[in-house]
Amino acid sequence: MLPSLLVASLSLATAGWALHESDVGVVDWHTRLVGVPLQNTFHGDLILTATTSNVFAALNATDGSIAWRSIHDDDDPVAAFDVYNHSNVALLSGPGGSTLRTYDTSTGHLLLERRLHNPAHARRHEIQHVAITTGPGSVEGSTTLFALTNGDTVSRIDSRSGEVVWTWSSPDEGSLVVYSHIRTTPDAVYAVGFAKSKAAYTLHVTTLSIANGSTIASVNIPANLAKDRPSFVLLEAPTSSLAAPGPCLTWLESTSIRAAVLTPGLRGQVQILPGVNYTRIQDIGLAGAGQLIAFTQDGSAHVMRYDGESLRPMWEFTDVAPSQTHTESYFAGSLSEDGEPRIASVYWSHANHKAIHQTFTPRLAEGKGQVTGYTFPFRTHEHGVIRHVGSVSLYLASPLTPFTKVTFDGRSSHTHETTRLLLTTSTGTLQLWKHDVLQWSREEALSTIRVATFVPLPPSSASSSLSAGSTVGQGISGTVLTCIRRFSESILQHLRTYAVGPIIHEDGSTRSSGAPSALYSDQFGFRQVIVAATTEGVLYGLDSSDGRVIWRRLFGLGWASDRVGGRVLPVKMYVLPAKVGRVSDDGSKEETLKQTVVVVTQRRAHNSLVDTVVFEVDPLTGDDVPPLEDGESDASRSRYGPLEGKDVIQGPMIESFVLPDGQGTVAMLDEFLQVQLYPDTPATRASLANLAPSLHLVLPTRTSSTPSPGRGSDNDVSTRAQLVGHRLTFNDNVSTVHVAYPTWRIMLGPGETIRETIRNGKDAGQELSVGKVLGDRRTLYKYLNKHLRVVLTEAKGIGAQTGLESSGTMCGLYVLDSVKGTVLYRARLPAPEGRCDDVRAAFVDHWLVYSYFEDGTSAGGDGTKGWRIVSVEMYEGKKPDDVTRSFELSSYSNATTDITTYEQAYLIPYGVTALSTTSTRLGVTLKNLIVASRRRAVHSVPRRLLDPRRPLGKVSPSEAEEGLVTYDAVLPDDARLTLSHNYEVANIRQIMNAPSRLESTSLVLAIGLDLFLTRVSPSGTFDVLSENFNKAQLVLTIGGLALAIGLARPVVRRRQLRGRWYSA
Amino acid sequence: AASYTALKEKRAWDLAISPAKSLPMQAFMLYMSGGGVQIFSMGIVFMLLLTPFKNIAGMNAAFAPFAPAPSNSTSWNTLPLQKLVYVACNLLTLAVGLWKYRSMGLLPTGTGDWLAFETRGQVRSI
Repeated sequence: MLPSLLVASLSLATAGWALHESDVGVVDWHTRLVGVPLQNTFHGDLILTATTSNVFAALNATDGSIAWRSIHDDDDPVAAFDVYNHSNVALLSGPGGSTLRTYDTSTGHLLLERRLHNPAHARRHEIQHVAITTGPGSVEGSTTLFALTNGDTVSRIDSRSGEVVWTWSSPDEGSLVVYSHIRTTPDAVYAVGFAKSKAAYTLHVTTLSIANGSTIASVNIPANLAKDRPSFVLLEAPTSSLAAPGPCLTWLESTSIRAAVLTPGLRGQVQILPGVNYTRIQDIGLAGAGQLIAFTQDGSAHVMRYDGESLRPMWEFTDVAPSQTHTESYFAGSLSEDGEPRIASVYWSHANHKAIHQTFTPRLAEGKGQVTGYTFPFRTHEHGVIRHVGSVSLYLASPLTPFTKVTFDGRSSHTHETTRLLLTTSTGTLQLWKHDVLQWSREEALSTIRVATFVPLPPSSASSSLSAGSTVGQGISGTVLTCIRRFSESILQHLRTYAVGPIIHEDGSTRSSGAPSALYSDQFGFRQVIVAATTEGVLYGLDSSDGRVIWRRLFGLGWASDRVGGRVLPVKMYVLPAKVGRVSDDGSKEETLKQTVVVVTQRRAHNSLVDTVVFEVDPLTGDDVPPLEDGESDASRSRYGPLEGKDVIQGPMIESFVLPDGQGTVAMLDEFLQVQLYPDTPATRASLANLAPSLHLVLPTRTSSTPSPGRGSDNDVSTRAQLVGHRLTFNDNVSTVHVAYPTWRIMLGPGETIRETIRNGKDAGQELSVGKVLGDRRTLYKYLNKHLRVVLTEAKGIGAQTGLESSGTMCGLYVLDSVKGTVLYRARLPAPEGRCDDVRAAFVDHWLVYSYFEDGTSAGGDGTKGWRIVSVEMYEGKKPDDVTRSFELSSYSNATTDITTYEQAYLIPYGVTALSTTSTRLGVTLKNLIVASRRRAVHSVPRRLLDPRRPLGKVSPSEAEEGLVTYDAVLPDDARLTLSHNYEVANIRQIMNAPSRLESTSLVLAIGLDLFLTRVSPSGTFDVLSENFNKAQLVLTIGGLALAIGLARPVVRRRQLRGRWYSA
Repeated sequence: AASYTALKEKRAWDLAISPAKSLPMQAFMLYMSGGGVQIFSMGIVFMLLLTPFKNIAGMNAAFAPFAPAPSNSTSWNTLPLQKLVYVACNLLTLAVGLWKYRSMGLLPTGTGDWLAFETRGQVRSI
């Protein structure tokens, strides 16, 4: 009876959580991404792409949408793919190409999956060692796949059955020769690879019988290839030639191109092309048509063609080297519809500020060719150019990696209108140009967001008039007057909107109103700007109402943009409050500056120097914010060109935080524990000096110079990592800045390293209740200590001491007071497969939630494999009604350790990839737990289910009054708790939340491969009128009553008057 | 006359303990009205709380008919013993009402009832 009642009550409660179908796409949005492309291939109307996010995807070439995608695990990287039969694609993935899969290209259906070798036994090589190629099958219509795996094994696989027909392994098992390419001819399989010699690589070719995989010949070709970047191109003979000769192996030795035509018997001569000095050769995707590009020393490029007998230059592109007027040219080739090769060359012209595209069409019959060209308006300041140096723009080392496809109209081969050009830019953007028109653009850098933040938008002009003006500096009477004025104005406005305006429901799509340029908040503050910094060097401003990109800016490289190049990796992002600017010159008005976003980044130059650079932008427009000490800014430099950062530390940063002075000063610690400030002014220095006694930092002992000494940085058992508390001091004899000095240290266990430190997620300024009222009206006072930190650790090799049979790795979780290093809570968690990546934690106020995977082998565990969530609440004292006033307690008081923790563990039916709690404006609403799962969904777990005081037995009346439900070890797997509807929200790394202006509602943003944003109301939308609120009825009733009063009043008056006259 | 005085005194005692006599009935009503906070139980309990005060306020007038002849009928000094018992009985009714209030959870006795008024000062810096 009772369980069913409970279920009934739960289901009643959950009814309010579920997402209505009509709300999908209105309250949420979802951006599916594939990741930054590594390798693209046109396949009819699809673009097949393998990306850095380990996704193999097919994009629709017409609109850029994802036709299908296959997301691989981290330990299953995509290695090689090849299209066969015009409708299927074979994909090798995993270490050494351990797994073969074939897909239907149009639907993405998995046709075949076969493991070729155990991934644990894969061999790793520095050079490419996985390849796949196809050949005609034994049966008509079938295809045979030839897979080169591990660099030493060639397998022949039937594409239909997946059966391995034969396998050939190199006799030396990859110790000497690493094969990197395979090609097939009707009678032989050619495996070509590198043989290691003392100083350089030489080439090695082995031919195998296609029928049974026996070695026909194996020859070492004397060559002298540079060790740093050995390359060769294996050209196939054009199909037009009669006697189907073997492929032509082409390589560059010192400055001359050498070519060897391969035959199954591997007998022949190495040709040397004399005369021209070449610098490199490049495969442009036309190896199948026997063509490649060779760059000469004098700055031109030759199209080389293999005609079945020899290799000859066919055409010359001049001026392909970077110069003052243009950048380096990028080449790509493809076959036109009639099978003729086309070569496209793309470069950026500094003179025209346009990208120039040239197409080379060979006329084989005449031995000539023809080049036609056009320009297209590539938006370089958003997608490609890194820095302006005078009038010259420089690209990064590889800003454009154009994988182009040139397709021509069948009849006329001279029109460009049907030419399609797919560009991958340095910012991870994928663009398809049809002639000079941009067809679509995919911002794949959004899959690499490292840090992001929500920035509330200013209210629209109508309501901003109310909030304009400040009450500071007025007398009490002035304040009262202002209050009265504002009150009356708001009453008037409310009356106006109430009487005539439409009802704006919470799900009201206010996004349609207004031009996109006018960025104003909606009524409830759901529309905010998400500023997101990616590892691809782009900073995005996204509209939180629909996920649209409002602006994008490139990170400037500072000094490193000159020749050196580098990467900017964002580390932290802070929203600085609106500052009241200096009084303008005439002193008449005070300029209020808008709030800004500061991105703290690490710039890794390619010469391995690391600097800490701070960028500051206007979150609404993406404009540069000039640093305060810079004075006047020239408005012209903003918007165009990359963001200019400020080098704060000449070296890596180990910690950063915002000074709690309300001014938004960012403090950063360098390797020498010196505090650098941004902005660095005497005022901020003074502010730091004031606040220094109250600042406490927890730093792991520096085991490496990286800013986050993450896992794997110190596996040595003998060294013991420490957690060290720091305070700041200033000694002007020693240094000019504040320096951190250690105050306490905690020795971690042997081999234990610190993975992550999590701060208390409580937002400042939230007035929350200090206690929790029990059913008998006693109070559990929450243990609120803003100095608490959660530290996640990984301990390797402790199994020997504790006698565990597992891999000897344990994960640790500590909650400690950063002022004095007291450990208040600790947990030892199992590490499945010796890794602690699965431990996630979220900590807010007095509530800690963490999740881990129980692998069932830990000693003393209950042995049930599965994912767990543990909810921990910390309360003051030993029992209810004990008060220590922890919120305002001095950290040096003994009472800070006088706490009681309640904890309960729950089984959850899905793997957790990220955890977060919701947050609201005032902190009155319950905090739900938001969980991103390996099911590629985002779930909301009600706080009520995660109350660690859920009774184990029958619920007593006072517990029932408190709303506690009986403990159930398994959290319900309720589809109504899934926030992400039926979207696939893949590989979520981080969940962020932001309060809206409604206390009930919080915005939740999931960041990973995909982006997903929705609204959650953990306690229901109690501050919004329900959808079935009948406004017309209310207005009519009030109107009718008013009318009735108006009509009745004279009648009643007359009555009363008459009564007085005639009563006595 | 003596019997008349005795009768009056007896009636005065009757009146003095009358609240206690109605107590079982009221307790039964309270029991029937249940523990929930509803309009019915609230009304009964409100009546239970109000009547003692009303009775005590109108005590002198209530006892006036039974006052001995020579004395001032509305004075506090007449029939002191009966009035004292009367007050005590009314307080008993009041106590029953308060007990009911408490069991309904309407008396702010726990710390939880005063939590909203608890404040915490500025976070001390260390």
